[in-house]
Amino acid sequence: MTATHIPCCGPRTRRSFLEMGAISLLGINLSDVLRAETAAKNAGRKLKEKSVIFVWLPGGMSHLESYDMKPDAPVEYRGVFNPIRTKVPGTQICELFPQQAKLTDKFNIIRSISHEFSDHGGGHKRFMTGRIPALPTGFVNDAPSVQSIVSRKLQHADNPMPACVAGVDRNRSGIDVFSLGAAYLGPSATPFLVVGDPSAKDFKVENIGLTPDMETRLDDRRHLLEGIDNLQRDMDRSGLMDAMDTFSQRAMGMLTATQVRDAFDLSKEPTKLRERYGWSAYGQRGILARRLVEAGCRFVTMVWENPFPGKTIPKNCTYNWDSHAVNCDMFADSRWRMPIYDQAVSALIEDIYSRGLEKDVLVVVTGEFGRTPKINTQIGTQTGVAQPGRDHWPNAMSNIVFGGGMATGQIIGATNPRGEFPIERPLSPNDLWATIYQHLGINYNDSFDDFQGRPMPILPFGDPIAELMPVGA
Amino acid sequence: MRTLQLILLTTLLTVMHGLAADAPRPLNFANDIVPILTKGSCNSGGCHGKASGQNGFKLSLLGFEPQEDYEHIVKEARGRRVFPAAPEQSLLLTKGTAQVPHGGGKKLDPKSEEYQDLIRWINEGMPYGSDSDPKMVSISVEPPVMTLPLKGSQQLKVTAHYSDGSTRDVTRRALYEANEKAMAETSETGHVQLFDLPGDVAVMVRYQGKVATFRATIPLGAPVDKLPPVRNYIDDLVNAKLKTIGMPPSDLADDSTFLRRVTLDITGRLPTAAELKDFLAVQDPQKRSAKIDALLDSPEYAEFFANKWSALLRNQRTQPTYARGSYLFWQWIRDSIADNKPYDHFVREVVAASGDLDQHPPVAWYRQVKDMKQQMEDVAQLFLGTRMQCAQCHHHPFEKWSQQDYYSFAAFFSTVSRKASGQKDEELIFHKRGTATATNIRTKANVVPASLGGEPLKLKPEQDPRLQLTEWMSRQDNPFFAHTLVNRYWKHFFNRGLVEPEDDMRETNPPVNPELLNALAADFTKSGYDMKHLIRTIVNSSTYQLSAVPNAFNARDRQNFSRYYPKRLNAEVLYDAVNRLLDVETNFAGQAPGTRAVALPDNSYNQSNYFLTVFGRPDSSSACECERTQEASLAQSLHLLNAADIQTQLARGNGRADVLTKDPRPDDDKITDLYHIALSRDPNAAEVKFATAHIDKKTNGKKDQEAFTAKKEAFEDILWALLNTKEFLFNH
Repeated sequence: MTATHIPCCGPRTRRSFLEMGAISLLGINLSDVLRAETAAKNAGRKLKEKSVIFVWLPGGMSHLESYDMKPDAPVEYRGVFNPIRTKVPGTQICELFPQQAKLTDKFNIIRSISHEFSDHGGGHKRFMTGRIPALPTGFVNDAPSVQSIVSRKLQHADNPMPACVAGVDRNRSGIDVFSLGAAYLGPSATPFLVVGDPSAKDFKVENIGLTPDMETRLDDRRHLLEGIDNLQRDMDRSGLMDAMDTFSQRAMGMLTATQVRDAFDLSKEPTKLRERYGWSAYGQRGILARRLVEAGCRFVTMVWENPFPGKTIPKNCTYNWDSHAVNCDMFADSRWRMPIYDQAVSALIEDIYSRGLEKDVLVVVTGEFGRTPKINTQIGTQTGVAQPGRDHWPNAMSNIVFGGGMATGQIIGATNPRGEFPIERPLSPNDLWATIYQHLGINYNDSFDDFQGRPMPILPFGDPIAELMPVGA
Repeated sequence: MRTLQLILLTTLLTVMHGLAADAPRPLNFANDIVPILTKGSCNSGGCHGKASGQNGFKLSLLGFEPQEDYEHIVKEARGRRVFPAAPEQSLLLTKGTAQVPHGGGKKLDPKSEEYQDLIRWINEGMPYGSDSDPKMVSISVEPPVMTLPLKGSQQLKVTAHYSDGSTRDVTRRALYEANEKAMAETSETGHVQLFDLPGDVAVMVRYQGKVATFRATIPLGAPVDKLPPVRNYIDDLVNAKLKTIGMPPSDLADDSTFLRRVTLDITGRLPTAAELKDFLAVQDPQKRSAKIDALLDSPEYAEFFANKWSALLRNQRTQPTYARGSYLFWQWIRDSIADNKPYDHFVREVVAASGDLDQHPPVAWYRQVKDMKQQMEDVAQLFLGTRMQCAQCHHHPFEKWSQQDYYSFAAFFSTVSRKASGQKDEELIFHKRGTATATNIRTKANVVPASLGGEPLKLKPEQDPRLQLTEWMSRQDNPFFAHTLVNRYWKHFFNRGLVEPEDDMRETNPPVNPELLNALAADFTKSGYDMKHLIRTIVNSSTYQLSAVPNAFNARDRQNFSRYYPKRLNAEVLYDAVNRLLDVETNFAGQAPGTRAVALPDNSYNQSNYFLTVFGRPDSSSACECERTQEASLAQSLHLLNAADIQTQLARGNGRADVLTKDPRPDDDKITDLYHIALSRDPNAAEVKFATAHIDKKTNGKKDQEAFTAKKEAFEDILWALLNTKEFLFNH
């Protein structure tokens, strides 16, 4: 490990923290940066820095309908779908995943992550922060989300792209909806939200694209502002005014620099490739994520909830992965949702490899927990008839991980014959985060001060997952 | 090589043993070994000191529990960590020196005295020491206070004092930290290097749970011959400091600047154009004092300070049913401030709140702050400027507070009980008759209430301990209570506390002007905790009324108050100011149209407001003022430059730009109006010319509707530019 350990120096004032941030922002020439980046891009696809694509499946994907099938379990556990054989001998996944089945040598399945929080809010907080939340319910996280930590650690002034971006549905665009809050790191550390469905025709990133009206007038306005913004800057020694000037410049850059605007513009992608990902919010957020990491984003969170926002959800199906019987007939929902997911995820895997990004980009696909192994039949609220569903189950779940230079085709861990809890290689979400921090070069033993000035380690526990360490680097 | 070392060492030790007269003191684990681990940061919170340890090896945080550390080092891991047969093969040393892979890197130099001490300790059979060994009682630093030149330096000497009267030089093993990193840096060996910033800097010295402070005064040494008029004791004490360090203050601010500043600071809004005109017209030399009194008597003062206190008292609506309570509590806070309720009464009514929401709205505080420990921590931080949190799990690293102090203080809240009141999700808070006790989690002993630094109290079962607590807090000689409030309010007006952060007052974090802090606290106590009196004293001082514009000497001053330090308008104030400038009537759900963002009863009314979120509105989820952030961000800049809602409001029919375009007066007058509204001052000739030139350029050669549209757009551009200026965004 090369990261040097900085001794704990105890409480610091938030002001001094702000100063450090502000100082690091001084003296940057945006156009130089953009020039350098263009040059780097022209030289080849290798990214300047490591990055992460984090696909979030809110509600929690059922492990028994996806990567941890239990065909030998009693019928009230195993459900109606069958496992199929895949490219890797011995690895079986759900029959609804034919495209991934051809690619199992290119990703890893983890079957043994678990935790103790069975509420959506608690599960989100537990997963997104790498900490035990103070309250088991509610989505407002009391500790910083991993995304905000990454932002604090990796947002550099010489990168015109936001370090962290999150893609969410329009009606789910609060920072707290998925526990992405920054808590004591301050709101500037929260991810830049890309709101809306990128598969929609009128999709546009808010505050980034200029209105046609502004496009012609921005120069005028900038000139005007320069003429009247005369307050003596030496009044302020806190660095705040300078930081605001720098951010304004960067914002102007984002508004006008084509490179930045282009990063969010999916119409620059070949239609064929977009089709390969699928015309769903899943697929187009997948390709957007890949585009953003190529443009310099370091941690892109893509929330996959409703595959077709704005369209009517089929009868018996539900909005996201929360497949209670009261919400949906979970088998009907799986028949609808899983193929869309399969297409998007398999496209992402192929795309990452075909562009040679598999060393620099680490991809994780996970929800906040798994679903109850035993099927619970209840009357659906919409349908009014008894239908099968599964409830919240943090004791077992499945996730997939690839890229980051790791060996693939592995299955890590195992659950008991009914898929209830890990019996091999028990892991926690924190082990996944340790792996991710290591990939990004973030020393997770570093601390940030909370509101009381107490140094709180980035990750209070957890170790990198040995099987996922880069090989042959 | 290693063998040679061992031979040499063994020889040395044998020789030393032979010389009985010079025999080294026997090693004591707590006194001699633990400090080495602390200095190497082995037991820090990021490493083996964290609750789960690191890679299977756990140490107590900062070495506060030597007994546990001894167990872990000597007895755990099948004894691999220490190897008496070949001390240098001990895992403790091979890891520490990174001879075998060590995640923490190299922490120990094999040539160092520390390494030799560890070798000797292992060689001697890892003694723990005996109960009769001397215990460390304190540390001292020499020199404690110095006046030093800019870029000067000073070597500190740290001495540990033991219970048997002996002393030892522990300079090498102590830890050093400057409170102002921009002013000084410290080396691992206690050498303080100053930079070229004048003022005061303190260096905290820590050694095994004991602390001492070195304070340096660094004069600039410029001649101070022009001082502003002395309006009250604040000016006396600030001027004295400025003379001592040789830093001439800026001039007094002009009337426009003063009016904008004081109106924003007291009421959280911009002065209106009419107010500005009236104020500038008045010739009375007492007009600033009169304005201050008028502002303090306005309902907007109470609203603005209720906004501040609501956040600190965590007035939240975490559930829809909480709306009634959060409104009642906010209303109580606002009314208390409007009535100028003495601060000690205000605090007592919160801390010792009993009854239901109708009888006594401050019980809402207990709804949000449920846990006894949390209640104590909030009270300590908010009202006593003392952060007790650290002492919950271990001795406070920079303070005298132990876990015993923590739980004794928490015990004041141990009898707080609740039962359902008539209303859904509402409770009745009461003192449950019985003995107040809390359990010290380390000793498992039950402890009774004791104030900070006080003796355990013997209370009768019917006595509500919280009343004892508030009685102690508001005693004239309480060292925390008045100091904390005056420092908090000082910061509100000056953007910098006399102690920073404002709620972290401790011996090792001294105030920049102790005489001033004491004088403010004494005056506040003497006034009967009169909040308006305190504010009046602060804002009537020349110190508050200095210009922010630096002179040749004080541009870099950030702590001596030789000029005003500009601050960005906070989220709600800025939102209201933008709406004022664009002539928009705010509309928050459930509130009367035009209700200011600063006057909202709780934050759930504006939770979905992107502007407020992005500019750092607090969630009222902690008792720390720091939850409200003033930092800049990319999202803020993007929002100000390009947000759809601001663009819409700029272009709106009957909006500010539209109305101005229809206004038949000359453009010069209209530009002047805009400067009055946005910046509370007259524009200078060049500014008027610059703005009218923009209008002329846009409308040049256009006629009728086209000219109207062009002119309206020109006004939109000017409004947009004004709201993006630093002069608008800052109080200066």
